[in-house]
Amino acid sequence: MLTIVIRRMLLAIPTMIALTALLFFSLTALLGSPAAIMLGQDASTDAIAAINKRYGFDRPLYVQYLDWIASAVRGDFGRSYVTQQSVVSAVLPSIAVSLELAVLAMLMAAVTAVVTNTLPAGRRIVGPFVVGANLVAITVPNFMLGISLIFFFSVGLGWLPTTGWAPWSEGALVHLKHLILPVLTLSAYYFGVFSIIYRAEYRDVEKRLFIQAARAKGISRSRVAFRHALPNAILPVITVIGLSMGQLAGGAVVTETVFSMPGIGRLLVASIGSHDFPVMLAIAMIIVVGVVVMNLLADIAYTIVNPLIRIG
Amino acid sequence: MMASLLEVRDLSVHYADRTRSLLAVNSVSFDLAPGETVALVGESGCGKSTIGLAIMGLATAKRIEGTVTLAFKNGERRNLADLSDRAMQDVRGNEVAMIFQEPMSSLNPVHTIGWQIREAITQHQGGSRASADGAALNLLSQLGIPDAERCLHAYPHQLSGGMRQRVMIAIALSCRPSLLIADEPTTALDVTVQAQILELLKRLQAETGMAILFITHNFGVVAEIAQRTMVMYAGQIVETGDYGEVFHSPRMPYTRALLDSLPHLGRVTAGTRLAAIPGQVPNPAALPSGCAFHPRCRYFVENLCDSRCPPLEQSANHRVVRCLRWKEILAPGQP
Amino acid sequence: MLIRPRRILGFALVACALLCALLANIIAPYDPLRSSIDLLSPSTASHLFGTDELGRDALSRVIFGARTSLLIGFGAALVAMVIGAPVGLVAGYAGGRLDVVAVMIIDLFVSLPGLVLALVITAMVGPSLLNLTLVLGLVMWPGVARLIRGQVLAIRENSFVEAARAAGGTPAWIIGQHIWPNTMRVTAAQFSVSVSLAIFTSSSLSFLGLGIPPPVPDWGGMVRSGYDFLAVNPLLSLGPGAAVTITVLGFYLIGSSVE
Repeated sequence: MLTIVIRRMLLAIPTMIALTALLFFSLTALLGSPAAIMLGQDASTDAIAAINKRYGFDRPLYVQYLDWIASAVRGDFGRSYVTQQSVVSAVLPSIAVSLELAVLAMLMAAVTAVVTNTLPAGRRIVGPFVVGANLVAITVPNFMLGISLIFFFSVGLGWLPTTGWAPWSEGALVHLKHLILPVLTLSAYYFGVFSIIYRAEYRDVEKRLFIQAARAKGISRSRVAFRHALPNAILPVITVIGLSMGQLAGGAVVTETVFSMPGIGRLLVASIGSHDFPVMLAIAMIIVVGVVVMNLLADIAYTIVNPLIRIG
Repeated sequence: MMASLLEVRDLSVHYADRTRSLLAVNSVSFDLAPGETVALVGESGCGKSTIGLAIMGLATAKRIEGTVTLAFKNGERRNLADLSDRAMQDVRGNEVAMIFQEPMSSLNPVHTIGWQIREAITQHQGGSRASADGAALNLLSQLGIPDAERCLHAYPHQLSGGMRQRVMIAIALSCRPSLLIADEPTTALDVTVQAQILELLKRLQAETGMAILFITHNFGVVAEIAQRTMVMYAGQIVETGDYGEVFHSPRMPYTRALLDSLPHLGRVTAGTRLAAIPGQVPNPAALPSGCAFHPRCRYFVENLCDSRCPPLEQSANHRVVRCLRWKEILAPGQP
Repeated sequence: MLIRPRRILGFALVACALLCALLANIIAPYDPLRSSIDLLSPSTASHLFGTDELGRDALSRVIFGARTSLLIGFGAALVAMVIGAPVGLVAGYAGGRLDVVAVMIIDLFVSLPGLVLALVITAMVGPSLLNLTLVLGLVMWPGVARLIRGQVLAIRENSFVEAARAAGGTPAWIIGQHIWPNTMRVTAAQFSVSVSLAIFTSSSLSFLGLGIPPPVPDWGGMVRSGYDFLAVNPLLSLGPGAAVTITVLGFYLIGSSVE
């Protein structure tokens, strides 16, 4: 198993290099002259040249890239054009917020999808309803769902707050209360996707001989469902979790904006609005690398969970 | 005369598909004595596996009629068909156990062998993990599995077909059932392994005194192990009797035909062709009138065999036949 | 074509959206760009969805908004198809090293965070109809390529392809005459799903502020500005939001009803 894990990790590195390089080159190419942005459109050529020399914008692109990576690895992403603060100090706290949202959303989606579709009673009763709910879940855009939930639960019923974030210092219960709607919003789509995949796989697993053999041992229906069928049917869900990471990033950006959460997604949108290129680039890079890493983790998780691959 | 272990009376199993109801098992009755091995023989689709599942309460049927009376280990006699699923859970794996045809698919691929054997033991006997492990180790060694310790920690895909079938048997026997239903347990194994498994079953039966209902499509396989045999066709029993007698002097034409289609040393001389039974097993939704076998029977007589369904008649001591003409068709070699 | 409820519902929804887009001039009660002094009025008989913060009729804006969404949706799906289909066809048919390389590239791009990239690139190049269409198409082509490649792999081994090869057909001819026609059913379905995804993503982009610049009515942008007035008139936000949902659902139903 270790060899498989190491091999996957090694494969991820050239992927990350290729993606970050591609991102860097295309963005700097699109950006044009950063000096012109910093100084304003009608700056003199001398002033621009001075800035270029000072920041090293006149060096060949690949040198700039390597330099950027070298600094980034040491934790230095440059300074914000707008605030002149180091990018890291602005970005770091927001990563925690986004991670919490994303992890909770994925967890909620996976657990509810798997459990509702495993319970023998659940499958019978919930079945047709779930199919319809799945369809809605995967087509309603994040922002529409989020705003609808806010309208219903906050503006209408007043049960839940309209923003998605309260710091832990205000108490765990308050913190979690604020998180309910954003987590629901972000997880809805994945609940749909996981449900569809899991139900299909479960239907196949149910027909296999070892399920009947387990019942022949005198095992109850629910134990067979949860201890025999579930561990087999859940494997494709793990794979899909890994593949969904890219899309999750996008969903998180929208959700954070709807619920005014101080996460990395909303920071990205803000930096776009203020043309703050270093912050924008840093966040885009972090997200891309993060997606590759998450993908890798899901891959490894699958290898661990599936004995056919783990031991082979 | 010993009281029977299992009494099946008028067992009928109705399946339903979208448009109609099918009778997979049609009013079957038989007895099984303790410690006896009975072979239930028939082609695929005749309903033999369904009987096994129905006894276990695992048939996904629309309606089941009849009684299945089992003598429990504590002396009680109860009709399994009356029991709830919850009550049947205490019966399955404990009083009656079942092993299946595909050893690979019968074991859960994501759990170790040890986990799966332990589950069977703790389900019925409770106890700690350590004691269950100990019992599992004993079982595996009894079944002739080398390096039982390592086997416990292995996954099914790491074992060979023969080993997996032994594990299946170990699981089935772990709680000392009085009846083992074996549904084609050797069909998916290669010939040498087949023989080993049969030997194993014979030995275990001698040690534990359990009865075996051996379901198969192959007469030859059970020659060494079965005392009695029942032949099934289209959901009905068409002949029963002592294994040797049925084998050597079959009364029912279907049994005859089945036996003739098997290659046997001594029965086939050079130059004779293997006789496959012409025609096909009937579709349970469209059974022939009268005797279900008549379209394929070489003793068919018009207006007799296709007009009424033959009842089971006693042909000798402990022998039963379902054929209107059995008295005329007596010994092999007769036209 | 089997009559399936899914497909019928899908076509019905898409038809609504198309009608709005094509006949906006006739259907919409007001000029979507005309502001009035009737600011933020709630839903009344004359303004079914109320008016927005510039006094414009919200319902008319929603109806006109269909044009932008459908234009971008179809455009982006087309771009994705134009890039992705040839890649998928060639990679699937050629096999060997070419296929391996193509798969590596496709897998690389497929796992990227699409919305984030579209966001950043659009920010750099500026949001115009053309730019949005191109960027979204660029983000979606790997998915299309992968699907088509899968189809080609499935068809490639069929005997009629063998026969064509034996008859001496060139790869280009075989792909054009035999393989492509057989992938078309699935490709058409995939196109519909792509349109659905493009509208989904472009409306998210405009919600985040990177849609067609005002005053052109644009569903995502309308949701964003209407959000501020959720307590006053929820339809300002939920109206265009529902329009997006219905259109996305419609195209998705059509595309997913083909197996």
